[in-house]
Amino acid sequence: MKRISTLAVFIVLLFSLVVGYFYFFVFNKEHPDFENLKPEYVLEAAELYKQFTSDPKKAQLMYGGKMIQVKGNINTIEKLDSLTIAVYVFNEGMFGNEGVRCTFLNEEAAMIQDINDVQNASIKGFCSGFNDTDVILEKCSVIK
Amino acid sequence: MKRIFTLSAIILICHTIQAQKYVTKNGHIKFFSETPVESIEAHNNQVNSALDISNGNFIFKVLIKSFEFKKALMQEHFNENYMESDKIPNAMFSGKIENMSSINFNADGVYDVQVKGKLTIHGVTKEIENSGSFEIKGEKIIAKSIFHVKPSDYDIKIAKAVEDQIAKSIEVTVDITLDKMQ
Repeated sequence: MKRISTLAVFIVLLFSLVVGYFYFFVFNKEHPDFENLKPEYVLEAAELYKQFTSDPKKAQLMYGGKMIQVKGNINTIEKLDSLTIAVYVFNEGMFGNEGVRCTFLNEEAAMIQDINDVQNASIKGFCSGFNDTDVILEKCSVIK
Repeated sequence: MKRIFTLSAIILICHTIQAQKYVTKNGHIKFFSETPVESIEAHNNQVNSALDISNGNFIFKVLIKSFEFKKALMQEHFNENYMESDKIPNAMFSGKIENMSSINFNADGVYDVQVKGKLTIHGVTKEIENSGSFEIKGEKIIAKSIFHVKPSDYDIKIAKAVEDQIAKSIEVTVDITLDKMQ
């Protein structure tokens, strides 16, 4: 009887651990800590843009959904409502500038007022892909 | 003298054509799914859009990976299982504003719009017709519309295990502020 009780307790405990694991680490897992994630690729922003414009499918498979670190001359900082975006411009299209657009994490955005705050710095971000006009990096942070 | 006049005319025409276009690279699209089991919402602030008021052509394009969900697992399933965003990275709408003549782009105000065109999601294109509004505010146009999309119409396969958690018809809200091209 005692052995059965011990076994029952053990089974209940094991079941609770499994359920708990799935609840906290699978079903309710948190978004990645983008600020502290290491980049999978480090390259010039111009090279990233060139790869996406010359072979979008190949570049999407390689860089899409990955953390990328880019460097180069940032042309402009855009402040739009709650968004702060650094833009590397490499082309002029029918609808304006085209290049690599980096949208900063909120905590980073608060520290960036103009281009002087990011000039000569590298930017790390999550690559969402290419929308036929720009390569989009999001959840970006400055690497000085 | 004649050359200077011709060159000036060309510059003026190009500037006028440019001034007919309104663009943005950070429009907002939200989609919302509600069932008795769960409510799911996702937001995208990287919507690329352009409007040409000379002919009513209106377009918006959106990267699927830019949709943000509260739950990381849901975002993962959305990209990997339902939308296959590595293979088909973008969704887009390309169409025309049908009632351009009823909109005065030089007078601030809110105008009803009728739009017709092709909506492409998950590589599948459907003709859609919808209503919305343009709010003219100086050199800005705030374009808004709400419409519904059935995942099944776009070959989006929802796993049987989660069928009850995702609505058969998803509400899509478009809220795009376009700026006049200088």
